[in-house]
Amino acid sequence: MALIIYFFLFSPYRWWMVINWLQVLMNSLVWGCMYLLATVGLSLTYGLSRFPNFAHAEYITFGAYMAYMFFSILGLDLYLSVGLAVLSSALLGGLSYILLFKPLKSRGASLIHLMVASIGLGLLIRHTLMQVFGGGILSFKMIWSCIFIGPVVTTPLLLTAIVTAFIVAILLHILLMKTKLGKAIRATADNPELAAASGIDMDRVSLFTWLLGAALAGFSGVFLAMRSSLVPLLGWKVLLQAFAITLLGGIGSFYGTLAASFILSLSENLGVVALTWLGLSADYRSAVAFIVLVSTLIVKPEGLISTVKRRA
Amino acid sequence: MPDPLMYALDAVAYAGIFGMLSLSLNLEYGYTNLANFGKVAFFMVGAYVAAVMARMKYPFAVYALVASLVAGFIGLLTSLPALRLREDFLAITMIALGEVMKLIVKNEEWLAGGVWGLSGIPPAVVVQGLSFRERLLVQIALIYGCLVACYVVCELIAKSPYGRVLKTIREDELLAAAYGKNVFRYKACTFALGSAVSGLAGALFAQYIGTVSPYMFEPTVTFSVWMMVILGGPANNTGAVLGAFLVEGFHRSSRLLKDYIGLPLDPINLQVMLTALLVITVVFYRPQGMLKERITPLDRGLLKKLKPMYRRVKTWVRS
Amino acid sequence: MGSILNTDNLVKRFGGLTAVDKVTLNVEEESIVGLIGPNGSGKTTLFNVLTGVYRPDAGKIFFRRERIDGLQPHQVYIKGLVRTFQTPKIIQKMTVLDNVMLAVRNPGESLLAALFRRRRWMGFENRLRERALEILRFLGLDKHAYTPASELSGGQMKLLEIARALISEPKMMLLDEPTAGVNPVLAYTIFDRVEELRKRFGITFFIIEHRIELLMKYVDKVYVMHQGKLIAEGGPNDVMNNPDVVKVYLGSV
Ligand SMILES: Nc1ncnc2c1ncn2[C@@H]1O[C@H](COP(=O)(O)OP(=O)(O)OP(=O)(O)O)[C@@H](O)[C@H]1O
Ligand SMILES: [Mg+2]
Repeated sequence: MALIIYFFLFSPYRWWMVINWLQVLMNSLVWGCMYLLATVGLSLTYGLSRFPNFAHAEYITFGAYMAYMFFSILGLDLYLSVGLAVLSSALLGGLSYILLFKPLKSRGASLIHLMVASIGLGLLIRHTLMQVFGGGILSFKMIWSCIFIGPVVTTPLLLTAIVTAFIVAILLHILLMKTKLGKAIRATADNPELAAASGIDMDRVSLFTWLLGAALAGFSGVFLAMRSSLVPLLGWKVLLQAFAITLLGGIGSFYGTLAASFILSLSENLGVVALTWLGLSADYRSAVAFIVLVSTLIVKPEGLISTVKRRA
Repeated sequence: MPDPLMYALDAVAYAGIFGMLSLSLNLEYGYTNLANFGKVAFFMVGAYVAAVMARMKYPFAVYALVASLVAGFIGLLTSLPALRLREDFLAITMIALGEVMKLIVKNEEWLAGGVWGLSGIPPAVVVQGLSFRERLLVQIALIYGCLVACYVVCELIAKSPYGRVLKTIREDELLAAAYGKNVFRYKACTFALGSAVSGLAGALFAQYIGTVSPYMFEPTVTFSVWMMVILGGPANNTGAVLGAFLVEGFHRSSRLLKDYIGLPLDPINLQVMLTALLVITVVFYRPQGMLKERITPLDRGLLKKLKPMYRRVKTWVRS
Repeated sequence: MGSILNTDNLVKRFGGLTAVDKVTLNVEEESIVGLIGPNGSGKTTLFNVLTGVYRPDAGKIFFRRERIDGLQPHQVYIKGLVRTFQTPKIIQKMTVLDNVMLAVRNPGESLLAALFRRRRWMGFENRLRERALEILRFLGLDKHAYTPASELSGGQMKLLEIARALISEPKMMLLDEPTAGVNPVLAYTIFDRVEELRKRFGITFFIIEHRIELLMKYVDKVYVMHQGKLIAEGGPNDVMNNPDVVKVYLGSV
C-alpha cells in the first residue's frame, strides 16, 4: 500500500499535474445524476416486485428513441418531445407490468421465469426499435456550446441533467416521505405480506412504481442519447452500472440508490484516471461497475441500506 | 443460396454445439436452479482459449481440455460470491460477467485480436484430400461424439445420488442442508462443471467456424440457450437436446423465411423478436417445457435405457 | 447418564421481536423431552437456532459437550442432530422412496463417484433402499413408495417427513409437531415408534407437540415456552399443574 502511494506521489510522470481534478469531479457529478435517473426505477421495482427487471435497460433506450421520433422526425418542440418521450416510456413500463409481469406473478411464476421473461421482453423491445429505426447510430444533431466554469468544461445539456436529477431527487424524497402513496411504496418494499394485510392497495402501488420508474429511465435515456448519440444498445450499456448501483445501494432503497449512484460514478471516473495511468483502455470503465457489484456481494450483500432480505 | 444440403448439415453441426450448451444449462438451471445468465461468457472463453491454442498448433484434445478447464475455473471463481445468495444475484453477476469478458476480448488485441477477433483456426481433424462436404461430415462426427459424451455424463449425474442432491437443492435448499448436504459446495461444483461443458462447446465452435470475434458472443446467445432448455423441458436431458434442435431449426427457418418470402423485415430482428415472443409464451403457458421432468426412482431408468443402447452400439461396431 | 444437548442463554431476535429469549435448557441422553407453548411462542425458531438455520444473537449451544452454535445446518446434521419440519418439506418431483433416501449421506453423492465409480455406491444404494422400504412399510406408505410424492395427502406427507428422520439414524432427533394432521391412531403409533427407537437405539428425542395429552404419556420432561421464554420445566404432572402454564394456556384460548 505504502509503495503504491509512494509511486503515486513520486512517479516521474507527475500524472496528477495533468489531470484536471475538478473536471473529474464534475464528470462524476454528471454521471451520478444520469445513473440516478436510470437506476431509481430499477431499484424500486426490484424491491416491490421482488425480481430484477432486465427489460429496464430498454425503457431507457425506448425513451431516447421516442424523443428522437417526436423531435427529429415529427419536428415537435424539444420540451414537448421530451415530455412525450417520458410519457411513452412510462406507458411502456406500465404496460409491461400489467400485461406481462403481474399475470406471470399471479400464475406463480418462479423468480427465474420472471427474469427470463424480462430478458425476453427487453430483446423484443430492442429489436422492435431496431426494426423501426434501423440498427445504426442516430443523432439529435444538436450542438452544445461549451460553458467554462473555472477550469471545468460543461454544456447546457449536462447542467440541465444535473438540475433535473436534483429536482427529481427532491420530489422523490417528498413523495416517499410525505405522501401516503410513498409510505405505501416503502411499506410494500419492506414487507409485502404485511403491507397487503394492512390494507395497502398493492396493485395501485406497484403500477405507480412501474410507471414512475420507467418514466425516469426514459428521461435518462433522452439525456444519454443527446449527450452523445442514439444506438440500440444505449440502455443495455448502462444496465451493468444500474445493477451495481441497485445492489450497492440496497434493493428498493431510494436513498441507497442516491448514494450509490454517486459512489459508482466517482469510482468509475477515478477508475478511468487509473486506467490511463496504467496504460489500459478506458473501455474498461464498466469493469469498475463489475468490481463494485462483486465486492458488494462479498462484503455487504444487503447493500448500504437494506430493505429486502437477501437470504432465501 | 448455397447447396441446401450444406445448409442443412451446417444447421445440424450448430445444433450439436448448442445441444452441449443446452445440456450444461440444464444441469445448472434444470437440476440445480442456478440462473446462469452468462452462458455466453463461458462459451466465449472456451472458444478463445481454443482459438489461441489451435493457432499455436496444439492438438484438439489438449486445447479442448484446457478450454473447458479455464472456463470451469472462471465459472467457479465468479459464481462464488453469488452462490450463497438468492438466484437473482447469480443471474445479475453472470450477465455482467458476459459483458466484462467481451470487453476484455475486445481490448486485448495482443491476446484475442481485439474487435477483429482471431481467424485461421485450423479444424480439429485434418484429413487430406476430402471434399468440402466430407469435411463437414467429419466435423459433425466430432461434434456429435462430444455431444453424446456430454449427454451420457449428464444422464449419469441425473440418475445418481448426486443428481438427487441437486434436485433436493433445487426444490428446497434448507431441506438439503438440514439433511447434511453442503449446499454451497454442490452448487459451486455444478456451476464449474456446467461452465466447463460450455467451454468445450466453445472449443468445438471455434475450430468449426475457423474464426472467432467478439460479435459472435452477444447476450442473445445466452438467451437462445435458455430458450432451448425452457422449451425442451428443464431437468430432462433429452428435452434439452431436443430444445437445441428446435431452436436451431426455428432460427434457420426464420432466416429462410426472409430469403424466400422476402419479408420486409431484417432477418436478425425477426428472429430475435420471434424467439423472445416464443419464450414469453412458453414461460406463460407451459413453464415445464415440452418434455416434462420424469419422476423415476434411481433404480429404474438409466441402466434399462443404457444397456440396450450399449448393446446396439456394440453390434453396430462389430458389423 | 449425561446431558446430550444443552443451551446457555440462547437469544434470537428478528428486528424488534425477540423470538428466543435467554433460553437455557438441558436434555438428558436417551430421554424424550417435550416442548409446548402457544402459537408464535418461538418453538420452531428455537429448533432453527439449534440446527444452525439461524445463528443465535447470543448464547451457546452444546451438543454432546461440543459447541455447535455457529455451525452450518449440514454440519449439525453430521454431528448427529437431525430435525423434521413443521410444514412437511416434500420434493414433489421425486418418488416417495427417493424423498426418504435423500436423507442419508451416500458415497454416490460425490461427482466423481456419480460418474466413474458407480459399482461402489450402487450396493450401498440397494441396501439403503431396503431400509427405506422397511420404514415406509412400517408407516404404511409402502404402497406409495414408487409414486410421486406430490400425490400424498397432508397426513402422509407428515409421515414421510418422519420416515426421513428415522432413516438418518441420528443421536438425537428434533421433531416439529410430528403428529399435526395425522389421524389419532397413527399419532399413537408414531409415538410408540419413538419410544421403541429410544429403547432400541438410544436415540434422544426433543418434540414440539400441540397434542398435549398424547405428549404427556410419553415424555420424561416438558419445557413450556411463552413469548420466547421458557416459563416452566419438569415432569408432565408438575408442568400441567404449574399455575403459570395454566394461565398461558387459558389466556391464549
Ligand atoms: N424469519 C423470520 N423473520 C421474522 N420473524 C420471524 C421469522 N420466523 C419466525 N418469526 C416470528 O417469530 C415468532 C416465533 O415464531 P415460531 O415459528 O418460532 O413460533 P412457534 O412457536 O413455532 O409457533 P407455532 O406453534 O405456530 O408453530 C413469531 O412471532 C414469528 O412471526
Ligand atoms: Mg412452529
